Amino acid sequence: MEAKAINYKSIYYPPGGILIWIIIFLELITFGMGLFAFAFYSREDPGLFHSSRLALNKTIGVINTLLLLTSGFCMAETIKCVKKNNLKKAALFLKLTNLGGILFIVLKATEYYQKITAGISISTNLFYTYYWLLTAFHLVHVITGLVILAFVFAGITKNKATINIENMEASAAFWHMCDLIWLLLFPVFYLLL
Amino acid sequence: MKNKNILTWILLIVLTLITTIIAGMGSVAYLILVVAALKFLLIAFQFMEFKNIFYFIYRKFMKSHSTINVTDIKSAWILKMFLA
Repeated sequence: MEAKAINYKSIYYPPGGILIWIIIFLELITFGMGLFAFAFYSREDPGLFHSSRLALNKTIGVINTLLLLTSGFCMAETIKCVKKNNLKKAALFLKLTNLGGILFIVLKATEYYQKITAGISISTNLFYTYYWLLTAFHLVHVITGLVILAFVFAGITKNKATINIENMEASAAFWHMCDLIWLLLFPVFYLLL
Repeated sequence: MKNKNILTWILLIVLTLITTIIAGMGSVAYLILVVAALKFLLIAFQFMEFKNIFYFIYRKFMKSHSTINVTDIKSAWILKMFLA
């Protein structure tokens, strides 16, 4: 593995590099605007939004949150192990991170299946328009994150590890961004009754 | 506890479970949003190591302020000497 001296205290070299942080801020702004619009329209028709919210499966939402939080913790531990050059343990934590992400997708697919079989689609009402748009857009990010992590995993499990710490930190930052977005979506869609 | 990541993770799990339990009780919308913001900051600062950048900005800001102050004092002193 390439051991590079990175100045983590520099604003121009945050963990993972400045580019990934620009992407993260843009993504958060995008989702933030979506949630702002959701909050705005929920005030116009609170009855509809309340009844639609009650139809969502809160248990799946909570389990998904716990899965993403655990997955994020495993990712943070992966980075810690890589910095200590303990690649074996890092690979184990990375596997757990991927497992959390895969379980999230399985549960989300189950939830979507339940909605589709119940006849709930993107055009059912305004609440579900936002629900499908924002959660599906988040799901796309989770899938993208898993693809990135698969490449990282392939990189650190090779006989001669080819990935450098900065790339790993950028991947981790992207994965944590999925956590951050879900932490905003979860209470807004599932909890605020 | 040595491992701050574990502590953060436990705290995040506990906060999630608490907000889920209290979600159905009366008007707790603002509390739920505040807890969500707290969880957001915990992940950003601890897991994403944003604290490194934050402390850097803080130190840089303080340092630049002290530099400006010292320069101002020196400039004022030189100006006073020149005028005298």
